[in-house]
Amino acid sequence: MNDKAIIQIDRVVRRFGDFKALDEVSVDIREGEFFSLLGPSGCGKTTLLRLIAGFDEPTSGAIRIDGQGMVGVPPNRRPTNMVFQNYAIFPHLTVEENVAYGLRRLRLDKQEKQRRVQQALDQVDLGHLGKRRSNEVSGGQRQRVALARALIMRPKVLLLDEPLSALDKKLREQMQVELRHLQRQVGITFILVTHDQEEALTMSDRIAVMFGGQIAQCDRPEAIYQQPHSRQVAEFIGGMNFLEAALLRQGEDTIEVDVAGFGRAELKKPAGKAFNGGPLTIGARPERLTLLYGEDPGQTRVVPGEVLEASYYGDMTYYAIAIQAVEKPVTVSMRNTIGRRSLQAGEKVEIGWSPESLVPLT
Amino acid sequence: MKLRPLTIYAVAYLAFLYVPVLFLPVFSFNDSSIVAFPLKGITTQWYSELWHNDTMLGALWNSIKVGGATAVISTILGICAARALTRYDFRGQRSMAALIMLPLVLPEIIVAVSLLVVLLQLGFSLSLVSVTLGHILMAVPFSIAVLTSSFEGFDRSLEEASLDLGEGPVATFFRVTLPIVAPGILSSLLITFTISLDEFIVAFFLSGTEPTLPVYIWSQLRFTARLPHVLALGSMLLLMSIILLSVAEVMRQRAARRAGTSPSGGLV
Repeated sequence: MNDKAIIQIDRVVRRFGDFKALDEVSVDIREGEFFSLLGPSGCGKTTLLRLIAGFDEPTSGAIRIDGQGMVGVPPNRRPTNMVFQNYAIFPHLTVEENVAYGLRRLRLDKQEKQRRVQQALDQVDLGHLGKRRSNEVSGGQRQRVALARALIMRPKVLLLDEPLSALDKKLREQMQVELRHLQRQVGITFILVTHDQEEALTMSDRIAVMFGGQIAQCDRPEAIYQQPHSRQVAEFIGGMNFLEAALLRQGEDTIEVDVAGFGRAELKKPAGKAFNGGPLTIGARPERLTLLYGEDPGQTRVVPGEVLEASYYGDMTYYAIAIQAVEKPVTVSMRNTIGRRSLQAGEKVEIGWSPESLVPLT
Repeated sequence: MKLRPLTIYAVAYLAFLYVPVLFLPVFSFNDSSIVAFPLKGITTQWYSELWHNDTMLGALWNSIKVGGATAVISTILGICAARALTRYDFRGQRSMAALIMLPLVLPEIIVAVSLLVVLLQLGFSLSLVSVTLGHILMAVPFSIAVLTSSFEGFDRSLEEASLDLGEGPVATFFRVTLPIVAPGILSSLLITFTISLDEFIVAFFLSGTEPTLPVYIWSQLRFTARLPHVLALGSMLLLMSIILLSVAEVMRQRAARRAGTSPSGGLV
């Protein structure tokens, strides 16, 4: 991966009648990175992908791939290839013929063609299924056929439109790892459209979170998760407690706040962000808080509370804790490691926290 | 296996349906011009005599012309309608579809009489053209029904995938669209041809001085001596219809499978 932008999206607008599917979207996608467009359905992520592929044209704005303007260039002349949501495997062709489909225009000799098809099939572990009819292979295998068919074209950018959504959970997790591995191996830029936040977090180098036709935040997965810029982003990705707070003091790098139920804290200020004097929302991830019952808190600050409800997830248990001065119960997750007992509803506990547990949102 | 009432019913039903039809080929090989048991002996006389009957050959040729024209035109119309019904959503789509399919259940004699009245009022003379027009009217609903099942599952992203893989729109049509819907089109051609070939009432009203095969058969029924010829001709017509419809159904199933839907439903 380097910093060179392979795709530049420049103030792109796409209207459908009165509806703005994309509203002045600008983003640079770097060469060789695994980039995800994440958002709920209708946020414009698929529209943006289709604009990059050339199936649709922007109402205004520009798309450049490798420095070349793409407006008016049809999909068959773009250095991109797509893995469709339903894979779009040609039903009248065999697996091999599907994979070789795009090679016809390259006018390769027979041996070279055969070599590239075999290489592409091997790349996705389908070497033994080449002669099968394409409607005789399973869902996971169809997905691999679609991948091989696109990768054989050696595109500059591979576009993936929710490629894993049709697979069951186990297979999906396996394919996530494989896709990531494949991307590192071939070194091509991958752009993944997904509504699954977990998928985006585990696979991507960078994620653009989209809402209502705009990119709300574009950053590394860790930054998106730990420092969401807005309540909307925080809510969409993972669980988050929202606490009301008053701004006491605003410094260069820090702000001092008074958080309802938790008390005063000095928090790191997100880069380039200014708060107006009014009330603000503070976010706290369930796993950034802890529960204490009887042990010495040491350096940790504590808030007394009471267990309302425990939800058991196997490796984790999520507790809803009622505390003073906060209307909604605070969710705290605990790993079920050795020696930790499960708490029952009604037990008195203390929520342990530190300023790093809290993220100021707008 | 025990003889259950439903089994008996089913066997009786099938016998009632097909035994009379089976008499047709049986008597067509009977060496007697009287249609009655016992059979006298086996002959192919009636079949060979048919080939020297110019009126019959003329009627056959008429039927093939009408059938061919009906098949091509109603399939083209069917392609347009099936594509519109499966790919787009527009106002009045459902009622439009219902109206197009209506001739399936309309009494043929009503269609035939009204066509006759309209054509005469408009000053058309009756000819094979008027028969063809009537047959198209009857065949289009069948064509739509067959084609819809192969278009319904046609996934638009297949065409997009082809474009994405570097093929232009023309190559995409020939490499993806056509191969996937071709069996459906062939099936529609065969079915509409068969419908036209077998159709009597409309042809009887609209054919004027040029009879089609079924009209010719009807005219021959008045002459007892010619009955064995009619039986021979009927047997051949029957065989041809069965073959054409079987091929059509195989094609339709293949089309539906290619388009990725289950090959249920269908006409035959």
